[in-house]
Amino acid sequence: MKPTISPSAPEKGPHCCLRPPRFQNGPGITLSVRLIGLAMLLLSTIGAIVAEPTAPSAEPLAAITEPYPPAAFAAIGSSFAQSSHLPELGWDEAQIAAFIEGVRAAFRGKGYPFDDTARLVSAEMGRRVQQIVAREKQQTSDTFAQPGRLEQYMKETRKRLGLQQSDSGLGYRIEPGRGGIRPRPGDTIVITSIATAADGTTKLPQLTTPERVRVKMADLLPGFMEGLQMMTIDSHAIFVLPPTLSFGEGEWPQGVDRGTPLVFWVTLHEVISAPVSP
Amino acid sequence: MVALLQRITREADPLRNQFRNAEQVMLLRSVAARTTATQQLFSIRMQLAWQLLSAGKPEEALAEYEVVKQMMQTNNVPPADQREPDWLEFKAMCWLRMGEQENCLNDHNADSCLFPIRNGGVHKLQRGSRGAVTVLKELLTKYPGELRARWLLNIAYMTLGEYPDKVPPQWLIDPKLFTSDYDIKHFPDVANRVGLDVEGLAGGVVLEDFDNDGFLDVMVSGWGVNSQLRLFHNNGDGTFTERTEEAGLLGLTGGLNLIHGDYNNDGLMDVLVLRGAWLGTEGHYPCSLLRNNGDFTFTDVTEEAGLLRFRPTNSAVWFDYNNDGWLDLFIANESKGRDENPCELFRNNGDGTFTECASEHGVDFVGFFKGVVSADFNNDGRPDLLLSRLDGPKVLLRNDGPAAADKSARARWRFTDVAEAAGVTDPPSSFTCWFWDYDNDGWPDILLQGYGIQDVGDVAADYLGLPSSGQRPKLFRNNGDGTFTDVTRECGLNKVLQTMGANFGDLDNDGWLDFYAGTGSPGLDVLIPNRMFRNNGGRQFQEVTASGGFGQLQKGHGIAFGDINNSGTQDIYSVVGGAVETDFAHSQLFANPGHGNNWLKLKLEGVKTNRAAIGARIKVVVEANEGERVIHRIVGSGGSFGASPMRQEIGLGQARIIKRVEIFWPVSGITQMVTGLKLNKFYHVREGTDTPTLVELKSFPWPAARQPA
Repeated sequence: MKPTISPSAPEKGPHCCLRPPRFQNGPGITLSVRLIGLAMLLLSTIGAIVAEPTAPSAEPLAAITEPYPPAAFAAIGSSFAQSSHLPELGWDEAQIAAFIEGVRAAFRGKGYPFDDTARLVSAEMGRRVQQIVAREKQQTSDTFAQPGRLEQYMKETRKRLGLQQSDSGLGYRIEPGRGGIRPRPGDTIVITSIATAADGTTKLPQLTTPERVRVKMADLLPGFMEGLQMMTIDSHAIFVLPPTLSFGEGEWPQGVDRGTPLVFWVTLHEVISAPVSP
Repeated sequence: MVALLQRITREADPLRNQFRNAEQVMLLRSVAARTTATQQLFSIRMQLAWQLLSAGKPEEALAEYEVVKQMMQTNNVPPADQREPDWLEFKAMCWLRMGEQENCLNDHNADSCLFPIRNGGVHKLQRGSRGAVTVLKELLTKYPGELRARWLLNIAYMTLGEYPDKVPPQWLIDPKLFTSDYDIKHFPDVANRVGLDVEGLAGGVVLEDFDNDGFLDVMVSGWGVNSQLRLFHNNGDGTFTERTEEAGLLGLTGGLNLIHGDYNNDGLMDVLVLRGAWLGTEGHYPCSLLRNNGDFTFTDVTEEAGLLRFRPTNSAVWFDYNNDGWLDLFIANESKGRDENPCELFRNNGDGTFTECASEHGVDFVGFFKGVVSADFNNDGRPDLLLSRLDGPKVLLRNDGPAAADKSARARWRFTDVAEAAGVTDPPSSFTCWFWDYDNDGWPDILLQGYGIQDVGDVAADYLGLPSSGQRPKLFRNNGDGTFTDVTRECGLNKVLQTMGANFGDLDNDGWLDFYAGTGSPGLDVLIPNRMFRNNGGRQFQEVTASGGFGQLQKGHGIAFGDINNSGTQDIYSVVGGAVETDFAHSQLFANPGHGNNWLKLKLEGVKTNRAAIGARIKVVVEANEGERVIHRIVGSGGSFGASPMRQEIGLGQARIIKRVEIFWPVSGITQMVTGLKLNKFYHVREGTDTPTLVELKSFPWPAARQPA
């Protein structure tokens, strides 16, 4: 898959020198210049998507009187266990029973003391969870490294989200804005965007900019820059960036699965044009 | 029907139909006169300015623009809210449209609006384009990323005869980007010479020999609520006579599209008028079924045939889904939001009436459908359906035959949507579509025309090689195993065309099917060329827009290919005109200059199969210098927007002899071998009758162009 924006296409503009490390000669560049603008604006907003904290209350919570089915509570328990990777920790039946007893004791207000042994076991479980998470991430990356998997993903995603796909491999859909002005590679833009992992639901706060930010087009990821050139002011877009159009062979931000597609929901608010020389 | 159409129009609220521009102007003026609240007045006058321009009153629109601008200043509207680029664009459009009216419409000639504009297309009265250039340069200086303005600036310079030399280099669009891939030879527009210079809005066309005299006649519709359906008789001498009134069509108005077929198997082509498209809740107009009486008159039999329904549509197809020898009708309707208008399937009862059975057969799809066509894509003898929609994945309905033990024509039928498995769900937003065998391998392929741009800048971006959000067509090659392969890119069609009406034919009689795309959208800025593509041996499509003179800038709709002067080569009739009232334009007839290749014309007559032979398959085997060659055709009117004649006009390239013709008749299931045919002749072939009838066709030359006074 040949990226549209390539060093051999100088007419595309000065952003070519701001490509990710794999497009450059110097291996010493661990974080591409192109990332700086985006990283600044993205990293500054980490935590912005965390739910608003509610004011503490001295009053005890009222008893739940709604006739919720027991299965709903069982589902909460299952969900908690699965999201904490409990079923994968290698516990035997006695250990599971003891864990549940601990939960029950806490509900009775007589929780077991968290002593040195408990801390030891907890640390061990923590190590196991880290191993599981690391393995999953590796598997996710490996999955997209498998021949045809990325193409299959792009095909399915195109259909699901009603996307088109450019020659470079960028998946995109633009909801029209006002028309007219489109950003050029030398311009500065004001955008908001939400990023998710390939599944389209796992938020990536380190790549998300829910507040308006000003950024130079030249500093953006290649796929992002390609997509933004299609947008007009007030338009909304979905971009699905295959790895070659995001971080490629360079360093990937912490918490973002290396080698996986990234999904962005973007709104273009403003274009600050670079002057045109006659 | 006439009274019914008048009543619907009369009772409709013009303010709810954004395309009834002149009426909206009157209403807005009236409301403005009664309004005192500043904010409200501001909003009304902005609407008024736009409606004036849309109604074809650019000078009044410019005056209104000045009023609005003054109001902005008086009321201290913040600059950010003034939307300066939009208003400068509006002003430029006023000037451009003024130039168009004073030249292309009032002083129309065959070069008018033909992109790239040159020769007679250059404006004599230049105040409009000069004014536009001034505003567009101001706009681009302030907002260099205004691709819409850059495109229009280059157009404006063309109309002044100063392109490319005087276009400021930073905004020039290189003329090389508009050159053709192949010199197809110039196809002059002879509409004016023969009496087919129809002025109007968007509409459909049927090219067909309605009176069986051997010459193709022309029926043209216009989508405006008061646009008269028109019928022109081909006199066989280079002239056409309008017979609208004599044919009994007076008062039949509206209709974005037309399709034809012989629903009653009497050997005369009937016509269906499709109305209400794009108008949403204001589009609940009926279709009209016009029965051909054989004496060049038609009778509206919609109600007695059981077709009187009120659902907005611009697409339908005649096909015989149950292979009973009678043409059934599928109508693809438009649904949006809560205005649900399921698609309809009308089974032909064989007695002049139809029974609606879409729900019974599970094909009452709901969506914003813009095209439907039929062909037997899996070659199992049963016609399948392809539905194109603006709002989602396509539907490819494989006809699986009777759903139960009852095998009669009235039995419940099974259709299975296999679009996903077949790989033909793209493009996300599409309009016109068709089946065709573009690579002559005997398996029907698919072309779906993408439709969706933000503004004309998307088309400009595509020409310039910049990223563009415009929807692109999809060409799917039939793999012969129930699946298709997307060959759009390798065939050179990954372009933003913004196609509305379109159709295919054979420009140079080389035996490979070419196509013409009528382009545009209601946006006043969307002045983009219609595009012609030549099929280069089933491998690639070459753009021949400029070399053939096909680049009409006004809005392109219904298109039909047919040999109007019986010269053996296909001409092209193109309905030109848009949705809004200012997009009133002259339709075109492109006369084929000839390319020296051989041809064969076949008119098929079904006996067990429907009489028009729709769905029959033709395989022509010829001996050429390079050896044996096979050419495939499917009988039908072509694409979903514009109707070509049912007689098949088949280019044979440099064939030396016709070895045989094989015709597959879907109802009888027989493949009829026809031999002894000569090159460059017209034959009538009847199902089951081995000896074809040679039909002598009189041809005529096109009248010479009128000399300028």
